[in-house]
Amino acid sequence: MGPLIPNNIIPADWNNAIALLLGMCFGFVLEASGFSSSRKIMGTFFGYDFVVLRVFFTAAVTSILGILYLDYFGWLDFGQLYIHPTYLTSAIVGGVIMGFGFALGGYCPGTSYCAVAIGKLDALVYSLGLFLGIYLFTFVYPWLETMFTSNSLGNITVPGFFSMNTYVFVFFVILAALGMFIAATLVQRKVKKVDY
Amino acid sequence: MTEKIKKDHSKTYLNPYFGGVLLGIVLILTFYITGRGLGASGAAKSTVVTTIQSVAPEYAKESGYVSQFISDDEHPMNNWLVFEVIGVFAGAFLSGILYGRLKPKVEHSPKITSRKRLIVALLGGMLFGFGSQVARGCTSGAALSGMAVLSLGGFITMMGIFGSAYIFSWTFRKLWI
Amino acid sequence: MIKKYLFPVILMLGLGIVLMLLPPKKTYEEIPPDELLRQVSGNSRFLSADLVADRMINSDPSLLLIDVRESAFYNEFSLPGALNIPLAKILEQENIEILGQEGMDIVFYSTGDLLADQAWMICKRKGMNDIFVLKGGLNEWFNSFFLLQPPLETASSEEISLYQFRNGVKQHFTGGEVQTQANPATEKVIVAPRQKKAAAEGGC
Repeated sequence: MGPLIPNNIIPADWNNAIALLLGMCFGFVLEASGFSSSRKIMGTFFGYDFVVLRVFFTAAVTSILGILYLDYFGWLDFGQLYIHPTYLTSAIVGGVIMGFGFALGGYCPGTSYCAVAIGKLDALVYSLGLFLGIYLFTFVYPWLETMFTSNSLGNITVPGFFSMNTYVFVFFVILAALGMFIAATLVQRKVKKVDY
Repeated sequence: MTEKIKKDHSKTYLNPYFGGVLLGIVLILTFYITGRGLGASGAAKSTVVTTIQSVAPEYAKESGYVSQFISDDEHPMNNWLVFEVIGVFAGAFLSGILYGRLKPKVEHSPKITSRKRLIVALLGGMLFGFGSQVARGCTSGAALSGMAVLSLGGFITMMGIFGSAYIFSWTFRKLWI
Repeated sequence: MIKKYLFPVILMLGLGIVLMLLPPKKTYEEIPPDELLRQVSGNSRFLSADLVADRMINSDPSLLLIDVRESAFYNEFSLPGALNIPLAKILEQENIEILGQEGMDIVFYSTGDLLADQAWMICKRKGMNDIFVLKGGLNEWFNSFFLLQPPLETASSEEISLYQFRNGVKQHFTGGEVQTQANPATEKVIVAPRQKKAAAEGGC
């Protein structure tokens, strides 16, 4: 059965409509969890509200387990899924730059869209900033091109890279997530409350 | 007749773990149906590409980066991510209505002014937009969806974002706490 | 607070542990035996020499002939445009890639059709579609086109046109002599009653 649209079980014309529906679920869950508030999001970095950590890693663990179980029972072909390609240098450099942007802006693109939807003007400005930043990138691209395309490892998975059993790796991810949740709860109790 | 006091839900949020499970389910569905994960920065990129193409088509064709996303037979906005993001707006809007959170405002720490917040938000957006193109994804696309399929690039980008964000937010803590 | 989360945490850990302990997944890309039986029972995999020759003459780009005999035989004689993949090497990676090309119809042939049919079975088990066997193999190929007997005068018109077709195939592949014997014989039979019609058709 696998991924339905790539296997033509659902016609490809429905793809955009499905994207819309899934996006709605995504946006709803994000906003309902509080990701439309930049001060709530930033709580993860200052210790007063770890919502980002909790939602993010719970979602990651849930989806990893879900996908792997579906794959095991033959309902989903893992090999047909799109795995984000690995370009070592640009992944790290881009991540660091984004972290800087995150610290200043308090949003990431997905959450900023949610915040715009409920009327946050700072999110609107942030989104404008996104466009400007991308535009700037197109200017600077010729200088960055070599870095951008270097060290391509292809569409590999982490356990694949370390030649490790996928399921063992996932178990460690679960343990790490649990550890982080416990640590987060402990830290949150000790940190001074912030009213936002 | 008893008056129904409208309860203020604006600070009510889902339990984060519950929200995480819901989000995980949405991700599973997305992969199961479409074979790809969610994303956000891609839609911003498509918007920029379309704008550049309509305003300065010559530049668009010559630019090494923009030209990759222009094709003669398909409009760059006719793109899975663009439709998904429209959905994100709609879904968040619905949630905002449900919880009574629809209110135009500039959210900022009481220790800085609105204006400063807006300037910093713009800068933050620019940096993030730039970085998202370098890393070929943002927290939703690379980190979240990448992790869902255990992508190495996804994990690396996620660690880069969060690690760097911790350092920089501590540096700029005056903006927030 | 711990009590509230105890169940989900145990569930999460449990699912992770179970996943690790599950028996290894069968990653073999095989079609199940009953599916194989179904596909074997019909004889749709056999393509006649006439059909294949017709496609070859029309330069059908989607046709790919695979000679599954040993290379010595292939080098001695092979059908035009055929590739050699000896049966023993059919599962090698580069050969799998050739056989798995999209949009191509693979036609296996051998001296008879035994080796070719074996190749077909193996590839069908691997889940390949668009694979076929040349019925009768090279033996049938020769019988059809090169050991061609002119039809008897009492032959039906289908047999005659089949003969003409096969003769044409032979000429195509060998640039051989035109057999003039057959034509007067057929003309003798046809010309007299169909004279008028022939004239009309000639005009168009």
